[in-house]
Amino acid sequence: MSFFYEMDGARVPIEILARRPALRCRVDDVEYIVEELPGADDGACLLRVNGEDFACWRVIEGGRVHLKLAGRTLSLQPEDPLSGAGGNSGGHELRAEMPGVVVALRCEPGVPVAAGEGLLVIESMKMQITLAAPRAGIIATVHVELNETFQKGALLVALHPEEAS
Amino acid sequence: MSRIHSRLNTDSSEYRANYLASQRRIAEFREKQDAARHQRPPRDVERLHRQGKMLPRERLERLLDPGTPFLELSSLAGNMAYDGEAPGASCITGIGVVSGREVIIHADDSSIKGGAWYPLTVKKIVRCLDIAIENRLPVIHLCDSAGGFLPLQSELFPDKHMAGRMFRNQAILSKMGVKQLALVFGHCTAGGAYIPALSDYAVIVRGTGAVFLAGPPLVKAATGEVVSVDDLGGCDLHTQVSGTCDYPADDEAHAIAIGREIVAQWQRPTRWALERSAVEAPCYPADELYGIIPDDIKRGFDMREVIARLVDGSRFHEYQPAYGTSLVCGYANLWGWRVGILANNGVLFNDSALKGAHFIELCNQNSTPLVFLQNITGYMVGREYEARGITKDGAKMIMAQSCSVVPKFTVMCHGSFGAGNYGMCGRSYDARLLFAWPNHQIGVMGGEQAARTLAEVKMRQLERNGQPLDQGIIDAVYHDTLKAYQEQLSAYYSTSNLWDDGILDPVDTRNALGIALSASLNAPLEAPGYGVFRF
Repeated sequence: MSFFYEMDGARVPIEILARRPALRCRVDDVEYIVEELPGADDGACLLRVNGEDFACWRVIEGGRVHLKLAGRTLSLQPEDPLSGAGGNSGGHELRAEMPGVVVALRCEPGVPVAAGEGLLVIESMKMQITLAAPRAGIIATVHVELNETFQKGALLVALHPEEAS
Repeated sequence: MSRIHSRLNTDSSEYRANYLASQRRIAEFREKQDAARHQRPPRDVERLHRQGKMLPRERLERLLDPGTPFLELSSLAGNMAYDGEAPGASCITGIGVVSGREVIIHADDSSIKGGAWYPLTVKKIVRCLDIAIENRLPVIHLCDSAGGFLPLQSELFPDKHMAGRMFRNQAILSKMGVKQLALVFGHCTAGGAYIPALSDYAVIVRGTGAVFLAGPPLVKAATGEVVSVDDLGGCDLHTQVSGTCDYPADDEAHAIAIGREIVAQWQRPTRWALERSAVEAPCYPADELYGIIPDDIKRGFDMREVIARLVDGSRFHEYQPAYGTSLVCGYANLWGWRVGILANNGVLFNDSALKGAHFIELCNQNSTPLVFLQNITGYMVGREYEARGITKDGAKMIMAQSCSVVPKFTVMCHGSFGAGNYGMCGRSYDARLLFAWPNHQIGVMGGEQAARTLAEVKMRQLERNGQPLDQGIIDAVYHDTLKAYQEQLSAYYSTSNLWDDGILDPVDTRNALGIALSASLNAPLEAPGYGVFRF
């Protein structure tokens, strides 16, 4: 099993080889055997790395670990392997997922919008839904007017493609 | 599991407006609830005290383990019936802890018309015993009732789920080995007499408790016999002679102490082992739910924002995040227990219905209880969708959901209209418990749609009869319908009729679901199985 740590801005891969009887891991092709020794408390801890003992201090803040070790202070954050963008492709076009009518328009061409900002409110099947910008960008065209009905798949709003990033 | 990254902007004017509107609704709800619980004519309270009786909530306080939660059910049952004469439908029901055991309690409320059973009282007690059967929860009956409210006997006596069902349910519970205890504080007359008689244990208070098929006036009318309450069915007769009750008590406090000791003897149930992790609080404050709930029934909102404020660590493993996106499905932990959540993010399409049915099957095979978060205006209509089989896809979801054997829980978060109510485990689908938020509306269709439809029908009727199109008449039909619907769609009307198990302040939802989930583990799981799916 391997994962990444973000350490002071750098992305560091760590490979876990075994957890028992002691943690055995590999970083930059070097293997380490790490044991946490009992007896320390209140943020202080005692680590034995490849037979050598280190006293250090550790503070956990949310997902981030701050470590003071051998005169250096390190800040580490394990990377969440689940944090991928998934299905959010963030295209240039906002299309209707179902037939409906426009009940509010909150955007106009040339205006910059943030990702997730509400662009228009549609009503379909007795429910009003706010359609949000799929990504940050500048509005290119608004293809519908207030109170206009539209069919499924209709193009409602387009963003300038060059603003993508 | 990933934490839900909330996109809620708590600085927006929309959030603040929603928050204020929710607070207004909650204040109104608390006021109604407080009145239903505590507002009584001083005359009735004085009478109870004169008789040496406690108020029903004082009894509850003594009975329940101190510092443990009590989930009161349907506190506003009957609030829109009988001109408000039967607050809480004249009884209290709820799930609590007595002598370390999870139990469900039915308490008659003798501070209202002598605890007479109105039709909705009977419905509430029957529902309480249904919950006991479905979850194998031991029952404690706190008896103090004048009997059925005679002017309305036709609405409480003859039908399948009326008075007889209480005693039928008691017998079924006994057959299942689920314990029942009756504490007889006042009268148990006619049918009510069977409550202690059908309980495993009955304690009766000397001087005030009485159990008989007919009270002294009826006995005199029937046979001419003149007899006192105590001689006819008092404590000593039943504990020394007839054996209808088991333990005599000097007063109410004594009866409760005996009752607690009886419960302490009961074998603890074997609960099925639902996957459980360490409990973690959600990482967003629950009161932000107030700002999420729109003030307009037509406005949609992202249910993930609600899930983020209900589940442990706001962590959610979303199933098929890119398919059928109008139904959000996924796993989460609730008070440490693994659950599967189905939540509406818009109207149900073919793909969302199929996804829902599939997810329900997965959860059943995986022994994972289901939580339904409803905000639904129905399945999509129109030729294109019919051609793609929206009706048979909806039927698959209803099939999977109806035949599901894992415990189901439903929260009515906003709207519940049309067939979406069926697929999403509405009242008819045996959710172990079903709660509603105060903003909730329920009906076969929305008020505006119904008003428009009926106004159009009226117009065509006038046309057919060759009458002039009088806009006044048409407008009257529209407005009358709208007004009637607005009342009938409201959460208060719904809870008054026991179409749910009570209204919740949204911030209490996590706790209520935790108690419900814990109770549900007492009943063993059946093997999953389904009918024929139409593919």
